[in-house]
Order: sequence, then C-alpha cells, then structure tokens
Amino acid sequence: MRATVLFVVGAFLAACSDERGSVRASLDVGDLLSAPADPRFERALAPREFAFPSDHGPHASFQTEWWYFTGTLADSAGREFGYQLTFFRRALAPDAPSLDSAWATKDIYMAHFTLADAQSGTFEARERFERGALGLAGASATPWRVWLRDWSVEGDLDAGDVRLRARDGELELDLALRATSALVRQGERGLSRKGAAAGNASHYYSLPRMRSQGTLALRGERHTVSGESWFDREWSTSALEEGQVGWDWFALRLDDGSELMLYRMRRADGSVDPFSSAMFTRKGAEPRALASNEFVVRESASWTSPASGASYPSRWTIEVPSLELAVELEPLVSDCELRVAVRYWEGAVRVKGTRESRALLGRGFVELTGY
Amino acid sequence: MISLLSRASLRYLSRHPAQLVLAILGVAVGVAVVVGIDTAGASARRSFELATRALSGSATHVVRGTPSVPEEAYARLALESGLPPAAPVVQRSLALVSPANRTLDLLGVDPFAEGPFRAYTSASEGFDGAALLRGDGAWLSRATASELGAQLGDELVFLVGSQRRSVRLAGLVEPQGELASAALADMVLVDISTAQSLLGARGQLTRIDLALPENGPERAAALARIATLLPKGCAVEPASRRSEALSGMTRAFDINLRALGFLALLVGVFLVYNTMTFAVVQRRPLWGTLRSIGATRGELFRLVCAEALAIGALGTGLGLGLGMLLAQALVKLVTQTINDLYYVVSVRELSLEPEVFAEAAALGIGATLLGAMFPALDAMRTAPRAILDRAAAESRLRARIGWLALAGALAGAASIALLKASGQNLPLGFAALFLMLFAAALLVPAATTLLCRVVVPIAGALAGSLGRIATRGVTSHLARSSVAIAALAIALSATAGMGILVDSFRSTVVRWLDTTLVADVYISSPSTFSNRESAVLSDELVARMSSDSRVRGTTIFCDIDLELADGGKVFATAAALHPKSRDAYRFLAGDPGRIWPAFSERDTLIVSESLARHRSLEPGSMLSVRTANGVRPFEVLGVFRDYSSDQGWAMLSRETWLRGWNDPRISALGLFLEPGSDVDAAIATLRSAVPEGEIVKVRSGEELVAASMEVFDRTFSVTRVLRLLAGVVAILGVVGALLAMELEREREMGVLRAIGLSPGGLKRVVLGQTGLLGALAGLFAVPIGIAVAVVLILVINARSFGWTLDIQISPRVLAETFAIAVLSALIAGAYPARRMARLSPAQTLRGE
Amino acid sequence: MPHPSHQPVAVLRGVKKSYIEVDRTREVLHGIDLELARGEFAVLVGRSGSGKSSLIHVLSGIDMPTEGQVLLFGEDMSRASEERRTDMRRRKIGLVFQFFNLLPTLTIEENLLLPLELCGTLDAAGRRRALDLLDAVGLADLRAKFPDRLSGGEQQRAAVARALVHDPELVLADEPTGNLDDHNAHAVLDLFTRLLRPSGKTLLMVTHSAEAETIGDRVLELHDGRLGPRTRSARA
Repeated sequence: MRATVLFVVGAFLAACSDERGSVRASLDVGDLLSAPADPRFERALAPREFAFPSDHGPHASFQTEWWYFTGTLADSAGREFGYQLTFFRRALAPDAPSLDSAWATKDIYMAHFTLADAQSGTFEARERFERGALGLAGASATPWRVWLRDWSVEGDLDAGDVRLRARDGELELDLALRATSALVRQGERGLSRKGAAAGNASHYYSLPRMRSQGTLALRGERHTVSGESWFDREWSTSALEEGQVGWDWFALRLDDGSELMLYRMRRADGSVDPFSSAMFTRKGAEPRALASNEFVVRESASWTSPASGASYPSRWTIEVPSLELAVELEPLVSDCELRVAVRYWEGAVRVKGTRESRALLGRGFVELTGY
Repeated sequence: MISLLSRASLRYLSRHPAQLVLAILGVAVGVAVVVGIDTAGASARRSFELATRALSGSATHVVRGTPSVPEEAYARLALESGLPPAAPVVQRSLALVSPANRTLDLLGVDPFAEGPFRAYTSASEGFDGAALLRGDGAWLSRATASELGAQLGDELVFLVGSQRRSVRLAGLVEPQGELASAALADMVLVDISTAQSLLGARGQLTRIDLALPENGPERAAALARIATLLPKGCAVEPASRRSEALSGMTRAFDINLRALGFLALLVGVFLVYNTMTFAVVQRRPLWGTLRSIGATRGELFRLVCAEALAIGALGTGLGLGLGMLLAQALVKLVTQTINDLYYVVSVRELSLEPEVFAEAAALGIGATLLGAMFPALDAMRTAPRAILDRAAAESRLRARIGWLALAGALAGAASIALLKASGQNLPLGFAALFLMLFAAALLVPAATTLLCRVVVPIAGALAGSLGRIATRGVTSHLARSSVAIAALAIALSATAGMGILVDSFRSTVVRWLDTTLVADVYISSPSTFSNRESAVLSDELVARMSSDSRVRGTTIFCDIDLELADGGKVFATAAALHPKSRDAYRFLAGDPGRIWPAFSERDTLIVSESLARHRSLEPGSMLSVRTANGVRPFEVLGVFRDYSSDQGWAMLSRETWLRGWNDPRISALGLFLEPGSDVDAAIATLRSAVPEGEIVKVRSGEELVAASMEVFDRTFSVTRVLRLLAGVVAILGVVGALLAMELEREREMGVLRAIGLSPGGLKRVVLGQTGLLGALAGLFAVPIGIAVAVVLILVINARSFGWTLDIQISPRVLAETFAIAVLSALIAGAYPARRMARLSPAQTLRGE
Repeated sequence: MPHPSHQPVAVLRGVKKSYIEVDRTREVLHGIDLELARGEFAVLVGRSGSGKSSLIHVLSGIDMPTEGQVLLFGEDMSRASEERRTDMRRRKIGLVFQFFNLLPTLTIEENLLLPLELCGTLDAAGRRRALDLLDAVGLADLRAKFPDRLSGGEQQRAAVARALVHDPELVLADEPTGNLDDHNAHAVLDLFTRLLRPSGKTLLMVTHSAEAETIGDRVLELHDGRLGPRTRSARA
C-alpha cells in the first residue's frame, strides 16, 4: 500500500502557486482519493498471474501505479541514512486527448525523492511532476526503465540488477541494487484489497530485500554507502471508501532473515478497517498473509510537526501473537514529513524485538497518511 | 494673521473674482493637459512593461530559434542533469471572434515546468486538474473574462490564420498583485499541447525560458552547457532583449506623444505666465500707492510671490484632478493606436508616475511664480511715481522691443543651427522645434508694432477715431497684448503645424497606396499587425482563388520575422511578385534594373526606407540573418518607399525564403484579373469560393486603400484631440488676457462713455480690439505653423519614423487657423465687451 | 411750452444720490434743487466728499439720481434711457475732468475730433473748428502729439478744447484746475471765459480755487450733500 495521491491537482497547484504551504493546507487526502474513477479504467478485481518483464512496465489501462524504492543505508563509519525514491503514474482519463501535439498525454508522472541523516537529524524531500510525453517522463518494460527527467530507475529487475539515480541541486543519490530475496506477491496472490467494494484493490508485489551500494550527497557532503532497499510495485484503479481517512504502512526487514509488511486503514471514528492486512515472509518459506485481527499496532509516542502542526505517531509496538512476534519501532529521524503536494510522513525506522523468544534487530520504513 | 499689505492686495483680487478664477483655471488647464497626455502615455508604457516582465516571469534568458525552437531542444535540456530550470512556451497573439472581438495573447505553457517562472495564480475557480490536459481547456483572468462576457464552459473562438478554432473556458484565475494582473490582462492561458494543436504548430516552441544563476562562473558554465545541447538555429539571449526590442518599436511613438505633452506644457506655461502677468500688472497702481506710503520692494515682491504660490498651488491641485480625467479619455486613444500598429497592450489602470506629478507641479507652481516674478520685479524696480504711470511701463517695453526681436532672431538662428547639427537625434530635434517657437514668441512684440503701423491708419480710415482707439490699444498695451498674441499664435501654429503634417502624411500615403496596390483583388486573413504571425491562408483557398478563370496572375505574400545574428528581429515579407507589383516599387536607392534580377537568385533582400534609416542600410550593406540552415549573410539590394510600418521591413523573394527556411505558408494573395473584367463580379465569385469554415477578406484594391486609411485616421485621432486641447488652452489664455487688458482700460472706456460713446459703440471698440488681437495672432500663426510643419515633416518625422513625406500645405488648414484665431479672440472678447458696456462710467471715473 | 431762450438749461429738483456700500447705503446728495440759466457761469465749492463730483455725474447723465428729477433743456433725464442720455451728452454737454482724461491712444487733434465723430458732425467745418480751437488754446503745434507727450497744463487745455469742440450748450468742469499750477490754472480759466462767454454757453464748474470763483456769476456751496449759498467755511 502506498500513497495513492491524486497528485494531479497538487501538481497544478504546485506549478501555479507561490505560497505552497497555504494551498497545501487546504488539501485533504481523503477528499482527493474518494473521487470516483472513470468506469472505463480497468480495475483490480481478481488475482492475476504476473507476467514479467511486462508487469514491471506501465499498465496504461489502470488509472494509477507506482514504483517505490525505500531503504536504509550506512557509510563505513556506521552513520545511518534513509532514502526514498518513488515514481507514480496517474492517468487523467482513459484516453489521451486528440490533439496535434506531442505534449498531449493522459499520463502524469510524479516522483518523490528524500534523504534522511540519522546523525544530524536532517531530512530533505523533493518532488517533481512531469507529463508522460516527449520522453520527459515515462516507464517501459523492456528495457526496464522508469524516469522523470533525470531521476530514473532502470536495469533488469528479473535478474535483480537495478540502478537508481536522482539529483536535485545538492541532493544526490546513485545506487546499484541487487535483489537478495524472492519476489513476494502481496495480499491474495498479488491482489491487495483496500475496501469492501469490488475493484477497490490493487495488484501488488514486492522485492523486500535488495542489497544497495553507491553514493549519496546531502548538505554538501558526499557519502559512500551500503545497505538494503525495499521495492514495492502496485497498480490499481481504486479509491478510499467512505469512512477511511488514511493509512499506516510498515515494511520491516528483520535480522533473522524475515520480513513483515503491514498496513492498516484508519477510519474516521478511530477504528481500524477490517481490510487492513499484513504479510510475513521467512526465508525459504511461503509468505504468510495475516488478517487484520491477527496483529496489534500500538502507538507509544507522538511527534508534532512544527511546520504543519500535524501530529504523527512516532513510536510503535507491533505484536503478532500467532508468530510470537513483538517489535518496537523508532524513527531514525523524527521529522520525515514530506511537505509536498500532499503532506505525509515517510521515514526509516530502527526495529528491536523478539520472535519466538529470540531477540532480533532490524530496519524498516513507515508511511503515515491522513494525519 | 494676514498683514494689511496682503489684505490690500488680496482684497483687490477678491473684488475681481473673474480674474482670480481665470488665473487659477489657467494654471489648472495648463497642468491638466500635461498630466493628461503624460499619464496616458506612461500608463500605456507601464502596462506594457508589466506585461512583458510578468510574462517572462523570473526567466533570465530565453532560447529562441529560427523561426521557432524545436520541442526536442526543450526535452534535451529538461532531461539533462544539473541544469537550471527551463520552461517551454508557445505564445501568439490571436484574434478572438467570440464571445467578443478582441486580440488576445495565447500563452501555452507546461504547468509542470512553470513553477519557478510565473506565479500567476494562487486561487482559481472551477479548476479541475484534468481539464488542463483534456485538450481544450483555457483559463482567463476573472477581469478579462468579465470584459469579454465569457462564462465558465463558454467557447472562446479564435481566428487562426483563416480558420476558426475554439477552446473552452475551463477556469478563472485571480491574479494577485499588479504584475500578475498585468500579465493576465488579455491573456488566454492554455496547456502547451492545446496551444500547439490550436496553432497548428506541432513540434514548435516560441521559446524556452531559462532561470540561470546570478552572473558569474556558474552562469557562464550553464550557458556553455546549454549551448552544446541546442540544435542549429537556436540561441540563448537575455530575456530582456525582446521587451527591449518591443519597447524600442514604440520609442518613436512614445517620444512623439511626449512631445505633444511638451507642446501642451509650452502652451500651458504661456497661459500661466499670461494670467499671472496680468494679475500683477493690473495692480500696478496699488503697488505704486503701497510703495508711496512706504512698503519696501522686498515686501511687495514677497507678497506677489506668496500670492502666485497660492494661485499656483490651487491651480495645480485642480489641474491634477482634471488631468486624471483627461488621461482616462486619452489612454483609450493611445492604446488603440499601439494595438493597431505595434503590439497588444491593455491598460487596466492609470499609472500615476511621480515624475509626471513633479513635472505638473513644477509647471503649475513654477510657471505661476515665473509669470508673476518678472512683472513684479519690473514694478518693484521702478520709482513709486513711475509705477503709477502706466505709460512708463509701456515705454520701457517699447524700448526693449528691438532687443527682444534681436534675441528672437538669435534664438531662431540657434534653432536652425541645432536642426542642422543634431544629426538623427530626435530629442534635439524637438529641442530645436521648441527653440523655434520660443524665437517666434520673442518676435511677436516687434511684429505686432510693425503690423499695427499698417493696421491703424486702415482702421482709422474705415472706422475713424474708434477704429484708431481699438487698434492703437493693441500697441499701446504691448506688454500685455504681445503675450496674449504670442500665446495664441504659438498654440495655433503648433496645431496648424500638426495639421499640415497629418495632411501631408495622409496625402502621401494615399498616393503611395494608389500606386502600390496594383492588383485587382486582395485576399488576406483578417488579422492585425499584432497577430500577423497567425495570418495563414489554406492551400485549398490559394488553389481555388488562383484557378479562377479570370485570374491572369498573382502576387503572393508571406509575413515573416527575420531573426538577425545580433539578436534583433526584422519584420519581413517573402513575396513572389507579379511584374506589375514589381513595377509599383519605387526605389530611393538602388537600381531596379539590377535589383530584380538578383532578387530571387541569391541571398538578397530589399528594405523599406524606415528600416534603412533605423539600421543605417544602403545598397551593398550586409545583414546576418539566422536561417534554418544557420546564419547567412544577406545583401541589401535597394531601399524602397514605404509607409506601412514605422519600424520598417524587409522584403525577400519567396524563392529565397523557401531555400533558407522551407516554410511554404502564404499570408496574403493579390490577384490580377483579365483586362476588362468586372472586379466586383469577380470578388463576388471569389468570395463564394472560400472553403467552408475559412474566414478571409476578399477585397478590391480600393477597399484595401479605404481600410488602410481608416487605420491611418485612427492612429492620428490622438493628435486631433490634442490639437483641440491646445486650442482650448489658447482660447482660455486669450480670455484671461483680454479681460485683464480691458479691465485695465476701464477708465479710458469711462471717458469714452462720458464724452458720448454709447454702450453698443463701446462693445464694438472692445471687440474690434480683441478681433485685431486674434487676427494678428492668426496672421503670425500661419508662417510659424508652416515652419513648425516643415520641421515636423523633415526633421521630427524623418528622425522618428524615417519617412519621406511630400509637404502638402492646404489653404484650408491655414484659413482654419486664422479663422480659429479671430473667432477665439472674439469669443474671448465677448465677456469683457459686455462687461465694459454695462459698467457705469461714473464708477470708472470716480477714484480720481 | 416755455420759450427756449427763457427755459433753464438745467434743472435739478429734489435730487438725491446714494451709493450702496458693503453694509450700508451712503447718501451723498440729500435733495438738491438747482437751476442753471442759459449763459450762466455757476461755480460750485465744497469740501472733499461733499458730493460735488456726484452732482456733476448726475447732471451729465453718466450717473442716475436715486431720487428727484434732472431736466436738461426741458427734458427729463432721470427718466431717459441710457441711449438718450448718451445722445444728450454727446451733443449738448462738454465735460472737463481734473485728471484731463485724454484718450492716450489718440493724438491731441484726434482727441478733439472724437466728439465730432460721435455726433456725426466730423465734416470740413468741424475739422476747421477743431483746428481753430487748438489754435485758440495754443496747441496747434502739438496737435499730432499723443497726450503723454504734453505737460499737465497743455493736456488740460486740450481737454477743454475737446469739451468745447462739438459746441455744447452746457459745459461741466470737475476741478479743471485742481491739478495745475497757478499759471496753467489761469490759462484754463481764461479759456472758459474767452470761449464760452461770447456764445452764451452755460458753465458749471466745481473748484477749490479762489481764482476760479472769480469767474462765476454765482458761487454755490455744497455742504454735506445740501446746496446752499457760499459760506466762508467752504474755502477752508
């Protein structure tokens, strides 16, 4: 589950507005996401047999999709960093307008690029929009490449060999990624349901572990880093259902070789939507789907953004009794609020806990929307 | 506490309220005309500056191409890592035909690249992100939409070339601040895909805006990297260059407008000086008495100055208000002219320039002080007894007439010398013109004295002693009458000069159009200069028109812009000329026998007189032109007579254009019919052959001449209004002068009445005198007016527009000038005459 | 109708004259009764402000009485129109002022011809008469000069000549010697006697001069707007 933001509106506002903050404040994720989609878009109704490499590429008949890279990195001295580089595609209409212009398109691309430095508590976020036209932004399956101007991911996903590049002023990231885990089909054989209505679901798969090496630059300093990344891939024509206000998403890599992806849809009344779910993966074993009643997420601290005034949870305990799993999560940097077209929090976390009574550590990423 | 001294003086003025009102009104009208003209001009200028600045936004540089920038160039820049922000722009002026007729600027932008450049909106209504890329969405500012009467969802129909194309009003933007308002005035905002599609300009950008870092090595590095990425034919230039070029276009127009303002200022100064002189001179007996009882010169001088200040301040205040009203009216005329001839500009509000106000205050208060100071000094310098003696003041002036005349002659000589020495300098040309007017004013007393020597005996013979009294009054009160005559003569000669200029201009243009428009039928898209780029005729139309059985030959035009290697732009026409059209060109330089053979062979062009003057071109000069194949040298073959554009233009052959640019569009077509064909019938047939949906004008040569003259006359409507204003100012000045003069002669009139002159007879004496004054002014205005016209035509016009005009002095203008002079003086004399006749002689004689 | 020769030239009956000032009405003549017989030389004395000039203005018709009757040659001027009064003045009255009041834009001769022109009698005889008069007042040589070239005495002599040129029946002189030295004053008074007496013209002269009083047939004194016989105080 990822930030399915209806970013087109944000895009235009970002382009036209001087006072970004004031306009942003008026945007409500729930409002944006609950708009009904054009019925001509294809919807994720049933599990599908993924076909690669074509499914790594764009799915023009769906309204929305994304390629989502997050990871935790460290330099040789052990200084820890978090990064996010994500590409979204959003179709405005099922078909492109019939205009005599190469600029005419139905697709808009958005990308978010963030770097966080645990040592200094620095967090930098950048956002870009571009139309899927004229080669300015786009996605292709063979060769596999997703790009927005000079931000790009490319390579051979099936061979697990990927290059990530993004640069914006003094903010830079250049990573070589190599998958070290198998591809995980999330939800029901890759169909991840977000609500009761048919079609309010996405096709969703992940590569939870990718060994990452390369360089990053932040605040004028360049670091040679290595670590692990998580790749999420999702496409859909789905909307938030009535009463759903946002979600919390957790992707944890534990040092016993297991991974946990967990999301919960939050409702306006404060309850957790039953369509929340999780997926636990152990090395060498079949992934195990967890229903919303199989896990408990508790928030033990909160952080209030001085910039937006929004209050986010900032420390969690997650318990999955059926797996004898209990972990505590703590952000590397507490201010990982992206104040872009749509405001949300996304940052790296340290994980500490036990499974089957054995102590374990880990790293992960958390996304919080609708706060 | 007001001193008794001031009280004595002020009571005088309060007992002559008409004088006081006239003095204040005189100052006010003078100030108002200056403020009106300058504010109107400044507002148009400011709107244009704002619009261009807001349009280029924070762009420091732009990429331009020949003739356009290929969109791949933008993609290359956008995809390159580490380059400064860039934004593609497609822009063109288009004629809107529905829901209203108006020229609008279509601005096609990529919203995803716009952010750093143009902060147009922060709130908008009916905004739907998807509409942007839906293909036909367009945005207007709320103000523009309401002016056009366009509602959300309405179709906006444009004429692109000869085709109707429409977009839909998808939203209203609310510009915040002056800059954004100016940018969005008369602007249609669309997505770049919509713009390209609408204009039929697939793959083409008007420009790419760049926001480069501050001057320094970083900028240089960025420029160097960008240069390597751009295809041939594209180049980076500072963003300011285009607006500089545009404002350079109207510089001459602007200077002329300012000159009109100066003319008004000049007349205003005369008016104010005139009024104040009377206000002081009239009280000469009072000053004499005050001096007799011991008031010092300094005291009296300060008193007069304080009074003048008060009158000046009151008049200036009133004048500023009147001026703003006047500006409101004038600005419409000014923008109309600019839109007709130069570019689209829309003035939303008057721009109140501090310098205009300063100028007005300086005029109002300064001229008032000056006007009061000289007579005051004069009065103060004289012994008390002599002040009381009116004749003494007159005899002093009479003694000075010779010196004044000498000074006038010297000023005149200086003016001629300045005209000769100032080369092509326009401001100096104006300076010389004003010097000339000043010289004329200095010569007025001498000329008046001389003329009166002739007039008095004639008047005596015709009307006896009364005639003599009326006519001698002019010379005997020369100190007053000469200022009034000079003011009237200068004002009228200036208007006469402008009248002669416009007449000459008009007749020259009519003759030129008659010889130039030789084709029988002209077909063009209904565009104006500002949107001429979109004037394109469809191939089908051209084919149908030229294949009519009556058509024996064609002349083909294509309006283009030539980009020069130096970054400049030259308007041009690529033409395939029929031999008859060819013969219609009159060359001022270059031999037609050699021009035409070389015209289509090599990279050559011919240039209009204005262009030749602006760019100092002559046969053999070379112009470095950016063609699609890179920069190429073009040889100037000849200079032809032309009055269609004051910026001037070049003409190259269609073959040359196709070779260098490979752009086959056609913007206008001239058809030569079989001899003896019925042109009207042919036009009717041709009109019915226009393809469905295409809008073109099919006109005969005569119709085209008439249409051209309509634009011509509209252009000069500002001049007409200003002439009228100058006339009004002059009449006001004369009323003030005459009233004061007659008041001063009250006693004399009383004596006349006492010895038996009837009120009617007195009226005739007064009117005879004012009529003579007017006639003299009219008489002087004629030669001065001709001199002004000659300078305007041969110097000012030539320097600002670069046109050779045949001087055409119509007796009508001269007769009009004389008639206006006499008539305005008679009108001006009516009130004092009535007043004098009514006055009881006993009252005027009392006081002895 | 009385015989013309026995008819008084001018008759004032109960003439009052007041001027409206800013805040009050000031009466300067409080009911004047006066008859001037044909050929009579009347001298009017009085202090400054006693209304002497007003009386002259009312008599000459350049001002109207507030009340009372002004009969000139039997005609009621106080009821006559402006045109009628102007015409009367033009033909039958000659005016001489203290400050000469020659028209500065006309030469001396032209100043003399002007009244004739206004009467429509500018013929050869008139011109000759003007020349004779100029000769009589001793200004024949200066006739082409403008008034500002002449001395005060000369100007006043010219003014007297102008007042007489159209042969008026009644001459009204308002302090004609007031601005002149004794010599010039004498010359002007001499002119009146020489030129008016023989033809039996009537003269009303306002004066402060003792010598002027001597040429009068009777001396009247205006005292605070009332006419009475000569008292000593008037001379003070």
